[in-house]
Amino acid sequence: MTERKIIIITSDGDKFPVERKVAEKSILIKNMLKNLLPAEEEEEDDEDEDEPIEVPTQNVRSAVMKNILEWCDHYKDYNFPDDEQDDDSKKSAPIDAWDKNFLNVDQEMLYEIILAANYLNIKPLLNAGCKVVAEMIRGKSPEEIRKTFNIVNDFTPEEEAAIRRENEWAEDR
Amino acid sequence: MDLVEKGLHLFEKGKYQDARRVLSRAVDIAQEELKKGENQWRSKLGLLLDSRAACHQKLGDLDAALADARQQMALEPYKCKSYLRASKIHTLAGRDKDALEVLEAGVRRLERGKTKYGSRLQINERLFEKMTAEMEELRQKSLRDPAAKRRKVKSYDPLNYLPFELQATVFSHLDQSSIMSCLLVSRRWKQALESMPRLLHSPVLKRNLTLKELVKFLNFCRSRQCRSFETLSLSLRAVEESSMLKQLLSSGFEVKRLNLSLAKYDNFELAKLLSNSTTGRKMCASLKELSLSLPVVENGAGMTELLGYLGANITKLNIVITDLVLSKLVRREPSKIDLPQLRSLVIMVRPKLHEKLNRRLMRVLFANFTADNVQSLHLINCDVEAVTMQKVLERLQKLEHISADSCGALTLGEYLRWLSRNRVPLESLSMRESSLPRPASSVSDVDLRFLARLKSLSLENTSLNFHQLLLLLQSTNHQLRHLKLKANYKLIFTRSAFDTRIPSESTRPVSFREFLQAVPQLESLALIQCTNLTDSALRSLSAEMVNTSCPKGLKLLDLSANEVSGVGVIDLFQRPRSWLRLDQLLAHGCDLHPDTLSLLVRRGYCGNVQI
Repeated sequence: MTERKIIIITSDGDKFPVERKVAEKSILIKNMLKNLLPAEEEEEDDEDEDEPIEVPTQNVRSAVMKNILEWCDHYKDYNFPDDEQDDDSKKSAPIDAWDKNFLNVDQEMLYEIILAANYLNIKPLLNAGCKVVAEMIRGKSPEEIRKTFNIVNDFTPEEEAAIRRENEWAEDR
Repeated sequence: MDLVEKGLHLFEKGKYQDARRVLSRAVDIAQEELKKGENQWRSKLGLLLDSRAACHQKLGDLDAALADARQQMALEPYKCKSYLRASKIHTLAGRDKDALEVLEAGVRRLERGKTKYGSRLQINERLFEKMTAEMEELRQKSLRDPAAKRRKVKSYDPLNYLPFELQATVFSHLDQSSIMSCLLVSRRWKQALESMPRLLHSPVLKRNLTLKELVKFLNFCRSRQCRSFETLSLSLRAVEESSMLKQLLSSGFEVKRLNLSLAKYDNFELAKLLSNSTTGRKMCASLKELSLSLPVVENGAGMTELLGYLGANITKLNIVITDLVLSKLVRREPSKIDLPQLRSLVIMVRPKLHEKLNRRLMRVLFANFTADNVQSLHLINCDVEAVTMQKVLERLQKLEHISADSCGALTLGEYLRWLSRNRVPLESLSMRESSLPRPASSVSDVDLRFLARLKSLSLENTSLNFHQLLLLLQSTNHQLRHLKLKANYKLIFTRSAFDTRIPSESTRPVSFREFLQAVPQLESLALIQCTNLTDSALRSLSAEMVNTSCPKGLKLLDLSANEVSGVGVIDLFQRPRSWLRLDQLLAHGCDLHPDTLSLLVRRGYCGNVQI
């Protein structure tokens, strides 16, 4: 009994054939496949058995999908622990070195990967992505943060001083 | 000339193809004439280009139309029509940003002309108004459309890309000081952050906070609807302590973990304050963990009155008593306290405070205090009398971890005997006898079965000898992982050459063979300030490690404050068939040469060495 092929179709119409376990890193796709392929695999003789299953993903463009699938492929044999429990320890855990390197892309791509991971429901990737963005902010001064993201400071000096005064209670490390 | 009229006529009749052909011919002629310097052709060419651009546009050839409009712009920079057309074409092509730019450039150009030439410059005011109106409209549109705005300033602001819940996830990974920076990035960031109420679940307040700063903090929280916190730590200065406490207690906060350090306010005053503050009592009752450092007045009720305000939910209580005074003015009756959820209790009295009061305070406290589910009890410098200690220890049926550090006249023998009464198998046991004169104690008649699951043992300043130590170690069923022995003066590691007495059971020096066989699972071993722990003792330790192959898992060895040299230490590792490899070796106060240290690390014997 051969596995049915899965083809992911991106928003710009490209087709990505993938292994089932790679595609199933996305809980969205996993649930979709569950509905499309009932558990009873007895229907082996089904005529459309060889026909690949096409999974459309309207919100993800090809360049992003390529990255997402690379990630899914890297982790295809790894089972992530259930993520409901132990929220605190997971939050403080550092970013996995491979993920960090993988997410070392330009900011727009990083955001698109995060959005895609959110849409496709790939929690570990989403979490790693958010952490990478947080790392871009951590320990920086307001001006450095603005520079990092190219944000225009729209506070007047008076407003800025007022906010600083308001936050005087905070321990400054 | 008739070519122009013919062209316009054809255009009006809707024959755009023909009109364009005719107009093109006219354009060629007009350009030739203009080259010859016939300046009256300038405006005619302008009109022709405008008309041809209209044809291109009608025929859907936007690029050609744009080219004509641009040519006209260059020819007659103060004519509004060309800017309007170019902008229209950009809009049709979906390039709102370019459309806006064309109009902005045009308006700038015309305004400059107006100031330069004044009324000499003929401008079609109606069209100019149309230009500014369209420009404004495009501007508004670009502000409404975040995508266009982003492209314009090329900002990669994550707030533009990520939806609110993902922004919140990002910020949840940040520490307080980063978040404070974020508040100052831009209005948008401040707004976003302010709508995340769980942002600061454990605010870190300045040390030596002033009242003014505390009020600012309370305002900060109020304006953000922050009312419940994981951890709140506050260390108050004597100056504004009373007002600050009142502010805090009236804040209506719900705190899981409160760390409060008071300078002059004592238990009695704090209890009085709580009796008058409903919100304060509520906060107190909601606590899960409390760390309180304060001076204490003994007025008959001791700490009990204050602790009575704690809710039944409290699981962890740390009390540090920084000062101790007798109050003769007010006498209070102690209250009964029952904290059924309490798992961990730490009481520490700063040393050298009023001894009699210390004893009395403990007596009152433990006589009125019930916390039968305590798993971990740590008493430091608490002068607990034998009778009281006995009662307390016998009650604690769920005890797993206990340490008694310089607790009055308590001796190891008594301590072990009382612990043995309730037969709870302990996980860890720690004891430091105080330096008060005390009788030598015996452990041989104690039922040591409560040590059967012991993982960690620490004994300091006790009168334990090797025979007794061995009894303790052998009761641990080979399970012990961590052992610390410090300054136990009767525990002798090598016999002095001058000692000619025949050793008895109680004066027998340490036999490393028996010792190691009792603790095969040891991971860390600390032998600090030991009697006669010399190089020759280390030699026999290393010989027995080779012979017994125990403890294979040893990763940390602490030989601080012993008279050992580099020779003895290196011998631990260099003996033939030695298998010892440590993560860390501590030798504070030992006379080790820097070369010895680097050799230990270089040869891979130790991950690191500290002296």
